[in-house]
Amino acid sequence: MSSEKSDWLSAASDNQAISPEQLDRLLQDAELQQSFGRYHLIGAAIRNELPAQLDMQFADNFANLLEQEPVYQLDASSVSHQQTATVSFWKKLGEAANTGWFKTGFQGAVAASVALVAVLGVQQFQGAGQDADLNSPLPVLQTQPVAGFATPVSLSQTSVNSRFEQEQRQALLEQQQRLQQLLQAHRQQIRVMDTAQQNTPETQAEKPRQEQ
Amino acid sequence: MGWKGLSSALIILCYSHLSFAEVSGWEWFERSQSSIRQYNFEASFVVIKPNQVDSYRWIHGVHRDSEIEQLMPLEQSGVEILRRDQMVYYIAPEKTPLATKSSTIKELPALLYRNIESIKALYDAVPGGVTQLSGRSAQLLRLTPLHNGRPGYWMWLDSQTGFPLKIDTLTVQNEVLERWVVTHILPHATLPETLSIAADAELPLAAEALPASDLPESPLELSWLPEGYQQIPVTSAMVPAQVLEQWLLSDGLHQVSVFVQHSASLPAQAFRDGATTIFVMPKSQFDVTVIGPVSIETARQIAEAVR
Repeated sequence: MSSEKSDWLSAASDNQAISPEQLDRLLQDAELQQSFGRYHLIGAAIRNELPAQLDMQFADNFANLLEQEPVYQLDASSVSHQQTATVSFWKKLGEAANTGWFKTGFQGAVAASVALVAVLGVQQFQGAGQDADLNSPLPVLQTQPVAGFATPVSLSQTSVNSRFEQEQRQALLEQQQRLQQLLQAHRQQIRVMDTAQQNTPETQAEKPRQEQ
Repeated sequence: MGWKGLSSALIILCYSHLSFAEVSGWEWFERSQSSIRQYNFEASFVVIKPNQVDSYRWIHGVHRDSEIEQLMPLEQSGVEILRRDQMVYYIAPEKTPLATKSSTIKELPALLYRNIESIKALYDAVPGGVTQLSGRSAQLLRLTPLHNGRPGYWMWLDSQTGFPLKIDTLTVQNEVLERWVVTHILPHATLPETLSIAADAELPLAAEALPASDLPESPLELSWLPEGYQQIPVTSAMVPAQVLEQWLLSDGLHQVSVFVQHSASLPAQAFRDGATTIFVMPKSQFDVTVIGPVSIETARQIAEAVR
């Protein structure tokens, strides 16, 4: 009987399935729970998963540290008034936080706030991008992806191997962006060159030819 | 007498043959240029560069004696280029549309739209053999540059209509720099439906307020231009802020930009984006960047001419 009991308990502590009846027994029997905990500890010890040093008094130590922490008060009168209100609120919140549903609700709120920050951040980023566009004289049509647009050819004087230093890579990236911008400016000029030529009087357009 | 007559007949035969070949080459070219102006069609093409492939949808139609043309880069959603006769509109989401006066969309191969006389001044057109391309019989037409420093072009034209099916841009050594290939064509008897909406759509007027002011006077000048090129006006409103000076050169078919910027202590470097050479040359006070479809040697000469 006892060996049968330890068999399924041991199996359960190795993450194997147990029947609903066995689960019920485990939940009711304190002795079974203790041995279940022991099996886990043994398993952890065998798998070398125990922490190097078990500090059982961590919580106590931390509480002591908190007590020693001085209390900062910027404005005594207003803060003391507000404090009573906030403390009572947080106290209530603390009590409420112990109930199951509030816990999940609170976690959801945290997740939502993170998501909000992320979305806000992205939107602000996009907004900034648009502002920059508005400041630039005319809309630039991006017809090419920014990354990897040009391949170095034989005239490149730095060897490929020496480039893989962090700083050099950064410099390379900046240079690529700079060239990319110039390439865009070149394309943009070609797009509007017919208009530019029509706007300019003939004499001005002819002038450079004479110089040549 | 007989010997003279024979030789003169031979010479006449040679000449007539030569001139026939020449005319025929440019005739093919002319057919190709007019085919893309007169037909109603929907087409897709890809532009292949060594490290990049871009695909486009291209629709063209003739409506009440004026052309309507639409070009859409397929990788960028919402970006659209539309031409209604002499006006070209660049439309991108969340950006003010750019409207400019032009009879061509510059993202399409310039070769197909530029004045044939200005191309004749730069190239020799020689017809090659007939091959099969995308299930069509295609006539090869080689355009060889008369001066070094310009890329060569090999065009494959539909034998029946002259419609361009493939255009290779090559170096002097006949290495392919860039390839333009039509992947699909659908001819229409009338104006394609998608264009009929665009034909009547309200579109912004050209940016008349485009400031025609010159760049601030700078002591820099360009003392040498490659053969056949001349300076053309630069729209100063579109010159990036950090650029001290920009020149735009054109030979009627190709455009080269020369930028002068504050020095970023970079080594002299050359890059290629398809047929476009990007050449950076540091000078004592500033950096010169030459961008255009020229050979690296020509780009270097242009950069050296900045003083």
